[in-house]
Formats: sequence, C-alpha cells, structure tokens
Amino acid sequence: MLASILASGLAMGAVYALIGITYNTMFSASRVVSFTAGQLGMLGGVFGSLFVLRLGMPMIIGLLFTFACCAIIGVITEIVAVRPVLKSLDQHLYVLSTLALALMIQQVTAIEWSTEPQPFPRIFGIGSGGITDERFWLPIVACAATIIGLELLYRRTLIGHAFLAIAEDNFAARALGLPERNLRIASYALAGMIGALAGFSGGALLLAFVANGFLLNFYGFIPVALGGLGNNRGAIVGGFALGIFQQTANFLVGGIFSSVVVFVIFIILLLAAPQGLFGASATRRV
Amino acid sequence: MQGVASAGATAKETNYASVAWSQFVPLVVVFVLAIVVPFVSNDYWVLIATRAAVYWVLVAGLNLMIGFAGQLAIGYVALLTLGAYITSVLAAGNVMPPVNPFIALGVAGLGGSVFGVIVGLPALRLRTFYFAISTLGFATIVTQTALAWQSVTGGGIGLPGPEFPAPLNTHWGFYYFCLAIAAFCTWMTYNVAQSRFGRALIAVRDADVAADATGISKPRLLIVVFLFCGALAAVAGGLFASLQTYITPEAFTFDLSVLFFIAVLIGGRGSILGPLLGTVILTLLPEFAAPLAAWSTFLYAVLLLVIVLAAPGGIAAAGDRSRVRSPGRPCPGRRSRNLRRPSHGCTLTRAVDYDSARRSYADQRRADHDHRHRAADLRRAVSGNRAPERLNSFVLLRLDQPDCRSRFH
Repeated sequence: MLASILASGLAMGAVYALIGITYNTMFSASRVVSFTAGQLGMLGGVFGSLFVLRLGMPMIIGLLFTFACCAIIGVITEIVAVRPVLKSLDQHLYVLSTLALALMIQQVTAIEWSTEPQPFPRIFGIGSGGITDERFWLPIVACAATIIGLELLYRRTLIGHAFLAIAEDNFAARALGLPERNLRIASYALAGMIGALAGFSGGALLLAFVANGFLLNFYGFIPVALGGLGNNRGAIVGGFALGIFQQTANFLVGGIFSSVVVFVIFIILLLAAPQGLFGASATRRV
Repeated sequence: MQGVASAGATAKETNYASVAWSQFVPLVVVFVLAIVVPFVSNDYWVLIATRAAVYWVLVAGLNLMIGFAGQLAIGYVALLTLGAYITSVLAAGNVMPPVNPFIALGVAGLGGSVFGVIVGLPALRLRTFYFAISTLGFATIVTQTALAWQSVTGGGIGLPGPEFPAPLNTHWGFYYFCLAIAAFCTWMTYNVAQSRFGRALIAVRDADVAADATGISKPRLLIVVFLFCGALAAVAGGLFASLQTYITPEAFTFDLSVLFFIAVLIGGRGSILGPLLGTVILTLLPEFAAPLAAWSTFLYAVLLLVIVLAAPGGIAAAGDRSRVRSPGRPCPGRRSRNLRRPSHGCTLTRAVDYDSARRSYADQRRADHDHRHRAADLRRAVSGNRAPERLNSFVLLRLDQPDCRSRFH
C-alpha cells in the first residue's frame, strides 16, 4: 500500500512540479503569472493522443510535434495575452488576458477534440500494472530530465545566462543590449515545451482530458505558491510534497475529501507563509 | 463668514444629490421595465427574465468585489453551486428532516458567506493572482465534491431543486419573487456604493497603501465584502436550483463563472447600472444567437480579451471619461515604467508598489525634469543604488491621488 501511494504520489508530484516550472519560466521572463500553464499541460496530453493514436505517428515524431505545437501556443500567449498588458503590469490585467486565452484554448479543445477523457498511448510498454508501470516512473524521469536540462541551459549556455539576466534585472539586462523581447518569446516557447512534457509524460495517468486544464492550473500553482514565485527548486520540492500528500490523503480520508484537505492546507499555508516556504521574505510595501 | 460656508456646503450637497439621483433613475427605469415584462410577453420570456434576475443577485455582489474592491474572483460559480446544493439538500431532506425552503435559502446564505470568507482569505495578504487561483481551486473542488459525495448530493444523477409554496410556484409568482430579491440586492449594493464604505473599497482597489495610510483597514473591509458577496451568491444558487427544478454538477460549469465575470467587466468598474445591463445582455444573447450556443463561452472569452486589451474600463467608462484612469499616459517616465528592477525572488507586491510609485514620480516630474530623470534612472540602474526611489515613493504616495496631484500643479 505504502509503495503504491509513493509511486502514484511521486508521479503526480512530478507532473505538478513540471507545471510549476512552466509557471516559473513564464514568470521569470515577464513578471506575469499565466493561466495558460495548466492548459499547456492539458494540451500535452491531447496533442500526444491526437498525433500518436489518432494520426498513427511514431512515438518520437508525435512527441516532437507535441513540443512544436505547445511551443507555438506559448509564443501566442506571449504575443496575444502578455505583451499588450506589460505596459500596465500594476493593473493586473494579465490575470484577465491570460484567463481569456486559457478559456479560448479550453473551449476550442472541448469542441474540436472531445469533452470526455480519451485514452493516451503507452509509450514504451514497460511494466504492465503494478508500481513499476511506466505511467508511474515516466513523469519522474521527465521531471528529472527537465531539471537537468534547465540546469545545463542556465549554467552552461550563453542564452541561458541571458535568460537569467532578464529574470534577475530586466533593466540592467536591457542596458547591456540584450534583446529582451526575443528572449521573452524564447522563454514562452520553452515554457510551452515544459508544459507539453508534463502533459505527455503524465498522459497515462491523467488521460487526454480537456478538464485537466484548470485542474492542472490549480494543482500546478500550489507548488509555485509554496516554493515562492520564480523559484524552480521550491516548485520541485513543493510539487513532490503535494503529490505525496494528496495521494496519502486520498488513501486516508477517501477521494471525496482529499481535494478539500489539499485546498484547506493550501489556504492555511498561504496565510502562514504568503511568500512561500522557500521564497524571499522581504516585502516592502512602500 | 458662516453664511458663505453654509452656502458652499449646500451647493456641495445638491451636487452630490444630483449625482446620486442621476445614477439612481436608470436603475428605477430598469426595475419598472422588468415589472412589465410578464404583461407584454409569454411564459418563456418570463423564464429568461427570471434567470437574469437570479444571475443579477449574484452579479450584484460580485460587482462590489470586482468592480469596487478590485478582487478578481474568477471561480464564483462555486458559491452558486454551494448555495444550490445546500438549499436543495435541506429542502429535500437528504441528511435531516426536510426544512422549509425559505429557511433552507437562509441557511444557504449563511453557508455561502462563511465559504466566501474562507475562499477570500488569501486576498487579505496576497494579491490578485493568488486570489484568482484560490477561487478557481474552490470551483474545481466544489464540483468534485458534488460529484463524489453521492449519499448527500446524488452524485452525477443530481437531486431536485427546492419548491417554494403556493403563490411562488408559478412562473409569474417565482419571477416576482426573484425580481423582489434582485431589487433588494440592487438597493443594498447601491447604498454600499454611495456610502463611505464604497469609497473605501475604491480606495483599496486603486491605492491600497494610501488607503492604509488614511486609516482604512483593508482586511476588515474585504471580509465584510466577502461575507456579503458569498451570501448573495449562495441565495442566488438556491433560487437557481428552484428555477432549474433539478440540479446536477453539470449545470454549474465554469462557463457560468465566465458569464458573471464578464457581465461585471463589460459594465465597468465602479458602476451598478453597467453590470446590470451586462447581466441582462449576456443572459439574452444565447436566445438570439442559437446557432452559436456551442461557441458562446469561446465568444465570451474573446470578448474578455478584447475588453481587457481595448477598453479596460468597460461600458460605464466609455460614458464617463473623467473617471477612467488612463492606462498608459505618455510621459517621460513611461519608458522606464516596466523596467523595474526585480531582485531575485522578488514578490509581486513589491514589484507593483514600486511600479506605481515610480509612475507617480514620473508623472510629477514630467514637465521639467525629463532628461535629469532619465539620466538618474539609468545611473541608479547601473549603480544598483535605490535610495532615491525609496524616498520618493514614500513622499509621493499622497500625490498618486488625482485630486491631490492637481492641487500641486
């Protein structure tokens, strides 16, 4: 029992952590928290199922196409919903504009795809049932790969350094001549791919289901809120903690109340540590 | 001397009175039109009008929250669901002996206000997106619970809505009952909007630090608003359940939330007539555009995007230019506005306050300090020395208010 709680908890946690990283990638490039993060996760599953099951593409080609489509959605987010409202960031219009875009994505998916959960293909076909099943370890592998990939990108490459510079000090980065707008677009494309990976690797658990969008929006934001906005390490720790906590609650109090428990804990944690457990605590009001 | 003063005071009062009057008359006109609806149409349109009235009960509260207090509650359908289920479950007697539907409606109101506050708690300490996400989370959880808790809510099969006693169980009777409640809600929110309570809400929305400095307690104010809005939303839910006669979790999709939300935004911030018209229009729209029914939420979303990008003020702002805070006035400081200096792990709150202080600073100095300002900006950014802003933001906060600013020019 313990093993299966751990397996499913870690797997769900990995998906949440990846969505959290998607939020963070968008946030650090633009200071905008976008509702499209969860939708990208949903689209990862839907596109995966569409390309591999419906159109019968090989797995790797399907994955590449999913990446490409979600990267495009990410760029569209930047152009349509983020760039026009950056001028007046203090009015929080981005909450509305990204929500509107997320709703549009969801509605188009619901009408053109399906409102019912659709099956997701098995990727390797390793381990049927049991806790060694690929649906449990695949999200964890994807999460680890993303962490390593991002670390290499941010520490070893020039463009990674440029991302960090934009996130750290937008003004100084621009003064140095960094192309802020292009880097922002690149960040949104990257965020789209991370979201796609979350949906694709978690496809066997979550299925290709249109209602996953707002669900992932909420459960993916909890790790970000716990870890502090823009803090990837916090999001990963928070994501796994949430996944295990949720599955434990599922086992202890049953499916009805586990989400209630998660919600209550989320509210209490936000009240106790508004900037997240790992976030910077320095808030200056004036 | 005294005479002059009192004459001035009288003039001011008549001015206020005429403003209040001009805002009150259209509401009365809408109410009178609503009364005559059953006399000039058939039962079908009475049903639609009832739905508009029920929606308005919720939107009236939501308007105070979004339009006045500026809290973006996006998952408000959750409180409608909650109210509908509390009323129906109590009236149907699933957990205890059946109670009178009016009492059930009252209990739903109480429950709604309690949950309204719980959902709103993050808004007291954190800003915008956190509150938006917590209401969104609440919406998903209420639906999941309604689906899973079969012994009480009937799960996916649902349960019958409450039926009100004799005069109210006809189309006409129920319509006038809902209309009366809607009118009462309008009257209450109107009073709130006209009082210092409403002005305090606007102050919290536009400049919460300045509001704090003038002695407005944001948490206390917001908790009262959450109580009130939650109660209205849950009562609307009870009425909705009775109107539908049978409720399932599918009746409360997120699409409804979007409808409420957009009704307020179309109407514009700080107006009551605007959201009222918005609610009526959005309720009627699917009746006239039946082929587009499947795409209605998509169209609402497009509408939302267009409103946000083109006219953040809504209809009301279009009629009243003076009240609009222009979103991006050209001024020398503007270029530097989104070039905040977000330090690592910087919070939303901080970036925002810093930003608004920076803008007021730029506005102040735009006439004669253009070059010096830019140069200073650049210098500060390069050297990383932020002492000047700190001082300026502190001093100039008072000047962020349009009235104060004109006094200094």
